[in-house]
Amino acid sequence: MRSKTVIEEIDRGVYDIKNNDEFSFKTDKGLTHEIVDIISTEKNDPQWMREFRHKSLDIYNEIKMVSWGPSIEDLDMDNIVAYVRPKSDIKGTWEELPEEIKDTFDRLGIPEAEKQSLAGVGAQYDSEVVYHSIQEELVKQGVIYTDMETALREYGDIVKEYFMKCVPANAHKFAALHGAVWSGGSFVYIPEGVEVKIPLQSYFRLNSPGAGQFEHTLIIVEKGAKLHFIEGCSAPKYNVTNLHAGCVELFVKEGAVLRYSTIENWSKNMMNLNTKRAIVEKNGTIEWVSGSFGSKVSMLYPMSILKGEGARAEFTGVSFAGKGQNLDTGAKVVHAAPNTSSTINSKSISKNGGTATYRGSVIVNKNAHGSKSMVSCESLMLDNISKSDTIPYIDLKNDDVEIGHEAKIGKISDEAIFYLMTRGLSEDEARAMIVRGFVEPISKELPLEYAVEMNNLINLELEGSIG
Amino acid sequence: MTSKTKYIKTYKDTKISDPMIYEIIADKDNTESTVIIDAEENSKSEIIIIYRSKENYNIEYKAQCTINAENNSFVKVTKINLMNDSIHFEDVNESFIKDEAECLFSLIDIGAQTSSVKYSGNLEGRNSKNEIKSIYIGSAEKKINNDYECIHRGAKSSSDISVRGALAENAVKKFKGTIDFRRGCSGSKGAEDEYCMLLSDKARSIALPILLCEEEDISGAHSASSGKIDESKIFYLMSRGLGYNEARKLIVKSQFNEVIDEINDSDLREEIIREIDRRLDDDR
Repeated sequence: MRSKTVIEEIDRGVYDIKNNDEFSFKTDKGLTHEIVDIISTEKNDPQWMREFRHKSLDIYNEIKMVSWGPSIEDLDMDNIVAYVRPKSDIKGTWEELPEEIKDTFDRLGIPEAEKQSLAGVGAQYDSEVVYHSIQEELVKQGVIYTDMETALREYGDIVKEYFMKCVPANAHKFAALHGAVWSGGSFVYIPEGVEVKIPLQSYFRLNSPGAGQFEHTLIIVEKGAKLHFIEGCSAPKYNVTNLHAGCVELFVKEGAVLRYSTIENWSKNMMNLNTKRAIVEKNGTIEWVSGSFGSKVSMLYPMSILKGEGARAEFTGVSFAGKGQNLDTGAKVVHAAPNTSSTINSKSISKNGGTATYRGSVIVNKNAHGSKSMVSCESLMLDNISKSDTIPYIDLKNDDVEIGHEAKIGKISDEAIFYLMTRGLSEDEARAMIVRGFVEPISKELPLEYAVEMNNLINLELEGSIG
Repeated sequence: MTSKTKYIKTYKDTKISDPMIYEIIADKDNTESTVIIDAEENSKSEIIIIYRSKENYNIEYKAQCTINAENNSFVKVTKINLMNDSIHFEDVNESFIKDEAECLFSLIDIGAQTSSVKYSGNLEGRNSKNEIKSIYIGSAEKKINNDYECIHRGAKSSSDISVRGALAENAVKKFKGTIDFRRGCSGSKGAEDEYCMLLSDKARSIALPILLCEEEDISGAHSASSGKIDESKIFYLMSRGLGYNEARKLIVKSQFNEVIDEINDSDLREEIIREIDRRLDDDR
């Protein structure tokens, strides 16, 4: 029996640097119609949005807490601050931002990435977007990339047409909560036929302890257009519970292609109860690339509704659950039109007592003849105190379908480690190399600098357990 | 309403080569039965239980079965549901498998209007083995609800769940298969494979193959697939002179052969094949 050296806490470097909890406005803790009213006034909402928020709060109060999945008992909504306005309004240059906020994003490498490889950047700090930029060339082509508040003012009609139509407030309890207190997030509109060749990125940083972040991302990719959108999230660790209940709504029109990549590295006091959905029209494509590393509890199942004939969905995801983490993630696909296809590839790693669960569903409706779906889940267990579960649901309502599902679970083989060690690698290096190889199909889907970040995160996570 | 209990015991070191066949017949006065199977150490036995019903009574029938496989024993239990199409059949089974013991559980699910079968295998002993083979055919308005689980507690235990089925007309099938590796079952292996042939546009298939794992040194795999019968296979058989329905029946039955061929009684085998044919003919 080999003994294992276990390092209890690892340094998450830049992700854990806390700034003072400075803000220009903060609501009281809890969730009431008064607080919703204050947020609405503070954000200068149009009347329809104010009414929508109140209605969502009513729905929130009616819907019961989910009875399945990881325990979210630690989440006490009476102790969550729903809205924190940072000490800065939205700026067009990084230099204009307060030093502390600018330093945070500098350390996270966002301005550098913007210079090198992004066509536009949005940066949110607590409840509000503090920075937004987009390349001039894209603006000329009619691309809109702005924060949701600006979109609500300047493109109110479009926002009203699409806002929470893909994820209605009654979808589940946290969708209703989001509808009531949402703040920040990004709005993207890609006109017909425009191909955005360089990715756009929004980064969400939650600094305030005990706060909730409820950003709303609304992306509309018109007929024949193309976009790669990257979402990054992180927060420093506190002893109180923080909540992230964002909402992502993606509308992929006829023949359009949208790739939505996420590297999520929340701190381990975070409840990440995010909702992401895409409606894909005829011959459109949605590609999800998702890396879940942080948070105490995650419940995240990006959903693709294949509404038009020939629509396609692809999901590639990896999750890494360490000590004290319960990551319940997966993907959902609804085949709602003929000849639609979906591919789900999920990999999970659990170690140091962490729980990684794949939970997903594939539903093929009556009319979705000729549809195809392939689901593959692989789980790696790095010790025997962790947990890894696979729970896929498959519901077929017509006979003209081809559906396959496969899952594997296991450990790193001693032979593979031994072989690499005979080639001169230390045991840690061998283990890290095998894990990197395991997630390679996902990291190769990411832009280079994000693949590097993911590998660094894996190295960081593996430092906690030297087998 | 009466309940009958059958108690089957294979004594220590006894090896019985021929299967013990029991027929249980449901009617309005017999709506429940319990079978307890004790396989003592080093024993070997095979039990076949056939469920039939007398008339087209619209009754609910509840069957229960407990299998205790002691150290180093081998026990094979085959359950065959040939009930009339008006019966609501509920069957709850559990097994406790000790060191080096092996339990084979086969289910042939053909009859009844609704059929709900639960099987829970507890692999408690070191090197214990559990194999589940299940075939089903859903026709007319039949509703099938299968819930199988293998819980690995003993080290180096192994399980294998294999389910094959076909759904015709308005049949609805729900399948839940769980392989659960509990802490301490190091060196264990579990596999699960479900295949559902969809013969009708109105049939509905729901599958939930679950893998739960608390142990590092294990290997688990599951797969589930569904689809229409390959038209090229039908075309090939038709080019050899078979009619469409004959070709289709042949392909469906070929998936069931592995389980049916293992029944050591030719009359029973033929009866099962006849029943399958009859249901597929009705679907024409």
